[in-house]
Amino acid sequence: MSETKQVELTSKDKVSFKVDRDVILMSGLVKDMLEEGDEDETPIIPIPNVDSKPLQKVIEYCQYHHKEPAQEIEKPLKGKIEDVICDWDKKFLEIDQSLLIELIMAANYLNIKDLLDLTCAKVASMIKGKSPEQIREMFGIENDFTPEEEAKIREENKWCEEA
Amino acid sequence: MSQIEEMITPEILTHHIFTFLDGVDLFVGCVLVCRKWYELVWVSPKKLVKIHNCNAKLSLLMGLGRFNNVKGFVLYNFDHSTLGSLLSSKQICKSVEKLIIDGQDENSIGKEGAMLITRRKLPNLKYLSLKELCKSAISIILRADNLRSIEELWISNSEDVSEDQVKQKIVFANFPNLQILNGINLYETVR
Repeated sequence: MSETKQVELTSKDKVSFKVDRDVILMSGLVKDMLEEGDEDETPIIPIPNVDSKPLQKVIEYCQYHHKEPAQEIEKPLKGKIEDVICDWDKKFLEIDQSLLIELIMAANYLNIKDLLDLTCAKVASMIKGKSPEQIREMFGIENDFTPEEEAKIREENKWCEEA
Repeated sequence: MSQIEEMITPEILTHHIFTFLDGVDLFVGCVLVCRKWYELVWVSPKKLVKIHNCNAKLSLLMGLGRFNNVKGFVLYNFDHSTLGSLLSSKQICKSVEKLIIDGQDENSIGKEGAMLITRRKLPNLKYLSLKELCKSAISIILRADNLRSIEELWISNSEDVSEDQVKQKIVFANFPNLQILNGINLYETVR
């Protein structure tokens, strides 16, 4: 019986993960690298932009979804993201905000569209329906508008709100 | 600087995160967060897709209103964005600019939903319904973007504007590259 081919991914913080080749082929970046490289038994692929924690989550995602393809998420979201994703994805997204943002960057770098959609939709869902003040507080963003600028923007777009 | 500002690139914000929000969310939530978001929300051509998706008069008006306010951004996006070849045509950019910006008298946006297009600026136009103008502008942009994914949404939204809301048939003799667009013709053009 033939063994499943594996790939070794090395994170930015030098942690190695062995993962089935079929699983990690969900990453466009890894797929391209494997196609270009030699047929090593277990190729080692450095992932210099991604720390071990998000990389582990990426692998977890790929291990599940390479057999259970993710469903496309509606754009725009009509309600909460939890209403349109599977239970596994809901559980998967139970992470802190910091890791969520790292995951977005990892999904983008590794070119995993479904994971990028899922994580970005989660952030969008966090933003949805919130006031500017609430959004700033949630993401720790500093308001760099002067009161005059803010008033001007509100005034410029007032007619939109009244329409 | 917050983590989201530090790590998330403008491309991810505009092309991925914001695309999951509709026009209303973008307006009430994102525009006044900070300067960067304000610019990203409104500058992104993808925003127009979302405006369209929103299926609300409010959102269409937002798109039009915004065009009216940021002439520079509109032109910049049309010239330099990664939209399709249609919008890289200077002629079309110029036409869109005239249609949306020059042709719009800021005092003419009224509750009646119609606006006066001055003869001096657009000699072949008299009255144009506001909704029709929005549809026209957005459809032009959508045509050059990801057409396949837009098509269904466009069809569903086109029901919002009935023929009788168009004050007068629109003739764009001066703008041969703009195929405008009412009722069924609009749908066909977009296809």
